[in-house]
Amino acid sequence: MSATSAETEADRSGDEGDRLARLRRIDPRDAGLPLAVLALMVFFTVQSSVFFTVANFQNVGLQAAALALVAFGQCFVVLSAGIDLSVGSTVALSSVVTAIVMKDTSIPVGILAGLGTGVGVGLVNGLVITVLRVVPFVATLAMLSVASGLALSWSGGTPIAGLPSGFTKIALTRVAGVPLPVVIAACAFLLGYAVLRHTRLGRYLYAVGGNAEAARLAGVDVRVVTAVAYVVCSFFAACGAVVLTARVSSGQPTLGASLALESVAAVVIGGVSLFGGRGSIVGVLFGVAFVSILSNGLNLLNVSSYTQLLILGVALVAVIAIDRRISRGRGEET
Amino acid sequence: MITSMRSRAALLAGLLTSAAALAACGSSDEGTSSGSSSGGGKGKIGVSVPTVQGPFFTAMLYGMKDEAKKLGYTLEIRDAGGYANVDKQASQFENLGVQGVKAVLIDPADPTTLTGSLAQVKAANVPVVGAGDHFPGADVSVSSSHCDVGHAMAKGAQELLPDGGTMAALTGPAGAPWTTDRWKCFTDDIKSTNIKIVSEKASDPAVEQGVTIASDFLQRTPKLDLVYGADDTVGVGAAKAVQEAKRCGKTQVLTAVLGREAEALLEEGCVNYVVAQQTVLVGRLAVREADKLIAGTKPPSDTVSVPLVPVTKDNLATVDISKLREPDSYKP
Repeated sequence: MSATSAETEADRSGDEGDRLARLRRIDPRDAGLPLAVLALMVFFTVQSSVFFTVANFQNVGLQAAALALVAFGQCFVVLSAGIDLSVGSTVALSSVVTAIVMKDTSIPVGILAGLGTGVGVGLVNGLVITVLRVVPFVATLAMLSVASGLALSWSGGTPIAGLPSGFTKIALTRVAGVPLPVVIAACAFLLGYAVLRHTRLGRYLYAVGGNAEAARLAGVDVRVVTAVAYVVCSFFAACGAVVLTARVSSGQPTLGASLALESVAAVVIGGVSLFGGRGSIVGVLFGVAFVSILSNGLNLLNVSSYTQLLILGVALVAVIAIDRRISRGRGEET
Repeated sequence: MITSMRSRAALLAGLLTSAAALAACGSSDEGTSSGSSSGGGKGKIGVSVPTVQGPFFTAMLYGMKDEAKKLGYTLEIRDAGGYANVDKQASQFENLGVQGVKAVLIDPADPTTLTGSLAQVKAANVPVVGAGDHFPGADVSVSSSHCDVGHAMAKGAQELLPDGGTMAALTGPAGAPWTTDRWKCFTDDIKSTNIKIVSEKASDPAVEQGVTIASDFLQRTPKLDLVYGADDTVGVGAAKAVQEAKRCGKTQVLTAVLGREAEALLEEGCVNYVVAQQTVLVGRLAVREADKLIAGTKPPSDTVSVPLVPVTKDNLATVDISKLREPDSYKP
């Protein structure tokens, strides 16, 4: 998607008379992933008597919340044609910092410290990528190591337990039956959606991801936009860390180790192009739903761990292949 | 042009220096690959472990360091960074063998992959002590066998469910000998009882994975009687899931390794039976065996078996925690 078409499409959404154009954007070929999620749900409902229950959905929501937060952040970065491999270690470092600070001060201060850690990590990533011109893969891979090392050093390699019970209640509180972490993830989703669709930053992000040089020539400050994407990503990862830390009620120096790859998987399944400039956070939401529901369903059916790994890999490829087929079949818009 | 290149170089230099300073400040014995504890003049003892993270290794390394300090040795600790990094451990083990250490203490991630390295180290006349896990071929091994842990956990399961019941299992990392031995000996004993295993899953030894898997298993079998957690990472995670589902005491939790979180949950009644290893003692005994070997004494047998301690809420007060765990004030 080129910078100009990104601008045009966004302008179109603001155009009052152009309802038809907006309807046209809800395209049958975008339905691939939501249909896949629906198919999964139908399958598991039939196979397991406990899948389609309120309690199970509360469970899935709780489990998916942290991945969702991290994936939304990763979406920003991938849209800018980058990648953030350090999100897992950022979660671990934020968890450790939150726990250490919280034990000495108070819950809000601890949470702020954790979130601040995320912002700090994102800033360093952004600077290393834009000022030192290190490619995102390498820069964030290095940060993965640094953040992990810091998390282990500051925690002494063991979990930091003894957090105030008020904090751990975050994971157990429900708002109208919806677990609080899910509400937090939903707010993050709405915020991300608003920024990407309805702000200049969002438009610039798509532009930079689509064609950085063209964006630069059009007057976009590519370095600032890129750096902001990494700050947003790490901040969201820190939000995920707070949620996970509350759930396990301790600071864990190895928390979220699998989240880097999982978040990229969710983003890619969600239709965001790894080359940047194309995709939607709505797709990422469905990507997270797909991965989480698949895992939950397979656990409910007591499928063996090894078979689960196989199924996950095959499902990943199948969903993306089918989704791309549908897109190519109807002819892709640029 | 030149100015911007120079300033870029200066920025790079500055960043690298700060990174190095940060690494130096943040490094500890375990954090770096060449950690050593200050000590005495009897020489160095090398230590090779799959990972330094987690309650088991923190406790064992504490025992080793404290005992080494008492006896006058310094320790060189090498961390392979994970159970999967068997090749890295092999290299680190071999390197220790040629670095002039008086003996090597090693917890092998997978003993079968290290036989070649073992031969090399022994050829250099360096005594080798297996610590934490049995290492066939080493001069002596100090450990509680994982099979014994499995048997003890089976005994615990039967004590918790004398009339039988349903059980879910979080078996720990797939393919790791410690989990497979533990699980095999556990299931061998359980076969003849009325305890039925309804769900089972392997995972990383991570608390948050324990929470997720256990809550899915509780969904699957709402009136689940027992959860087996291979060690206290997934065990603690399972207990938290039970807590979340408000089933403490109704769905009982059986695990191994008495870490701080496990102990706190035991007191709350959300963990019900812990097979504790005397991990600090294992570390101490390993150093003492190395000391004997360095002095030229041949060990009477190639195994020093360290007894396990079954812990429940009732006998918690009588347990000697100093043999199980490092002191609260200790920071590695």
